[in-house]
Amino acid sequence: MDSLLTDVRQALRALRRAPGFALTAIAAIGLGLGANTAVFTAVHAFLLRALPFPEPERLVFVYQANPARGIERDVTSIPNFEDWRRESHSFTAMAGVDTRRMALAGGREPEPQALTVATVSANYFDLLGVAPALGRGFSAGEDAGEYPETIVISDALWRSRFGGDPGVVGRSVRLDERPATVVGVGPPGFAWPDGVEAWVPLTASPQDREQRGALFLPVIARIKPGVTLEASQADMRRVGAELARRYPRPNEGWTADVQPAHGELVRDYRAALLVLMGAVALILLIACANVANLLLVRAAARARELSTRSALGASRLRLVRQLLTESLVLALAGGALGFGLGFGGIEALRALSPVPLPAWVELRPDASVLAFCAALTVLTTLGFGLFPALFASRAPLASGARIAGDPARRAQRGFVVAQVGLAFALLACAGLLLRSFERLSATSPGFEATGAVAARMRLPDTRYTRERRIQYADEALARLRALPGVEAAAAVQTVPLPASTTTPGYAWRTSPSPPPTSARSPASTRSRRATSRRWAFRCCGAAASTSATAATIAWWP
Amino acid sequence: MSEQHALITLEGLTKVFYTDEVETHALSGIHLRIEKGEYVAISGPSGCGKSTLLSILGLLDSPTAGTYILNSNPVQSLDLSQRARIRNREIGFIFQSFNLIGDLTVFENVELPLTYRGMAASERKARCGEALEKVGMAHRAKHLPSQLSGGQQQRVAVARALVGKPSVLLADEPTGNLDSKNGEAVMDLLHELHRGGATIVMVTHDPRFARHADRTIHMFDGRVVDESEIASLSA
Repeated sequence: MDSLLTDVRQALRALRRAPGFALTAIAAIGLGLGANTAVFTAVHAFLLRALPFPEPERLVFVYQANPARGIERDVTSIPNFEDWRRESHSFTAMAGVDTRRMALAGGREPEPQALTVATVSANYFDLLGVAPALGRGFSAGEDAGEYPETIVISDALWRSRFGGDPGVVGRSVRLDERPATVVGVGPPGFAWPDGVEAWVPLTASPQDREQRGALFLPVIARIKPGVTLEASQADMRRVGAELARRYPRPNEGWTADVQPAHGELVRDYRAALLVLMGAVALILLIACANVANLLLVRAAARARELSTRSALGASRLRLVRQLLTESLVLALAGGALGFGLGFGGIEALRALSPVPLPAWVELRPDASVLAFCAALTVLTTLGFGLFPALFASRAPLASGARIAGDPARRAQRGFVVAQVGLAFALLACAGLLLRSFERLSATSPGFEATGAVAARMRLPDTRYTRERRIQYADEALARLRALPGVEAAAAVQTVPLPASTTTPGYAWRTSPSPPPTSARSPASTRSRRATSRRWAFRCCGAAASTSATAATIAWWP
Repeated sequence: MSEQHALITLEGLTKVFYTDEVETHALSGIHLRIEKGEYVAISGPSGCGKSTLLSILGLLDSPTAGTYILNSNPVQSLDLSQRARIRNREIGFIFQSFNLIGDLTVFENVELPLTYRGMAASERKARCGEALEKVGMAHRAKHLPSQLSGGQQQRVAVARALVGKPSVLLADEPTGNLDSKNGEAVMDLLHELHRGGATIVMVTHDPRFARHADRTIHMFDGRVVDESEIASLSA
């Protein structure tokens, strides 16, 4: 320990006497480690850290699949879901989880508030193993009705709309103009599916409970202890086949599949994160090669010192240790810088992310990230320090001439070649990415989006029957078409190429089933076919559309 | 002198350097005995092999052939770590250009061989203090080499060489980088160490300094020659 401290002290002094070299090396290592720390934090948060629920490995998503049509994952209908739940044997619980927008009235604010609400089976909280912070979750049977009569609000909503009132449980509110009772407050930070502000029971009309072809419902389940994923998949294939046999009209060709929840949630992120991890690993390698080269040059300059140490009795191992200690000191300083840069990098990743990060992803450095950074620092030390140390310790005892000779120059050339090669690899990857982005940007979506706007209209079920909704749409379209500057207007259930085709937090199609014929106006079809016609994606409503050349109304029955 | 007093015995020692296809015979069949407590000077013209001989004596290099016995142990074919250990314990080096490590203080420079030996800090401190006292540099213990004159640096180098109480001090042109006054001072220091019982082998090409030694070994063309041979070779 004493000699190690001596080595550290001498290393610090040696580096202090070569500040240019030390700062250059620390900066190079720091940048490399910082990039790796930042990206690993994301990799850890998305790919490695378990979902924040008890026994998360037992959580799965259950899908409909249609191999003949190339559909691997699809949501299901209420009747299929209820049959799955009743006829499968592999799960302790299974719950349907949909999200929708609802208007909440009540609380401190006089105005109703539009909320993103999860409509969930009554066993949802039990399935996840989440206990509300106040009150209770849903009781069995609360999802049996046509309209939700109870609501669990999120901690954030409780604080913002109800002022954190502990007496909120039992309070009456209005949901889409119907009375409901607050029965619970979710635990702080819990907003799952991603971004929801409240949960209500998964209620449905008697008609909806009969529509086996109306696929809209994502399903989550918890596998029984001791049951393997494969066994649960076989179980659901059996159930799916039985439903296809029993109800061939909507279910023919469809089966059911089970996939681990965590893997499904990160599916869209995995490839991008791994590519990014590879890129920053290359950056670190370049930094290592750079610093190794600097160390080789420095070793040549220190040949006399190393020879003297050797003459005084330092073994080769001792010299390597001394040199590696210097490298370690550099790497630790670089690691500290890198960790700091990593923090900044995480914020940059958060800011640069083209889509909001899922709420369940905690993008923060923790002990694992710190351990990764420490391990990477040690590896980096070996990466840039070992070869120069071994090389320098080969110095002839009587003179350091050989260090500065051809082998050293060959090694330096090797490192330069490695740096250039790695840099070119990175450059090529970046070029390919840019090229892909350019081509993607130039790809025609099949219609002219310039000058187009869209508005989302949500008509509460409580006040708008199916007929009234159609009537509303027809009237709105007529008024829009009459506006000066509007070339065309259409109503459609799902706007083309929306910013997000997934339910927040879920990676599946939200509406695979075509909207009712009456919900799609002729102009919609015409506009999609005629690429020269102006079309719009979204705006804030009729008032906003007056300045637009056209409008599409997306409305949600 | 009897065999049991021989500190160093070389038998038929040769050293050949190979560069590409060229063989250079730096040493050719050296036979040499150095007794304990002896002060030996090795002299000869540049390129005669005296520095190569000193390197082999100091286990900084290994002979191509022949036998080298140090303190009754054959050391010509030891591995690198064994040689490092013997260098640390048995041999003290004094270099022409001092070879003090610029990042370390005078004390740390002197302490270095003891650090490599794994000696306890308290004992290192006592030994270093003693060695620095012996060369008159104790008052400069916390200075860096760059803050010392050439003569002072060489005295520190001498302290570093003798701090480990080696069997032999090997000095390679110890006055080569010093003015005459400082050179004489260093030679006086070596002489004093010799009087205290130290065995010293010194390479020098300066006859004035060689005279300080008990015995001078003359080398020419990789061989040890006697005075009469020198005269004939010079003729």
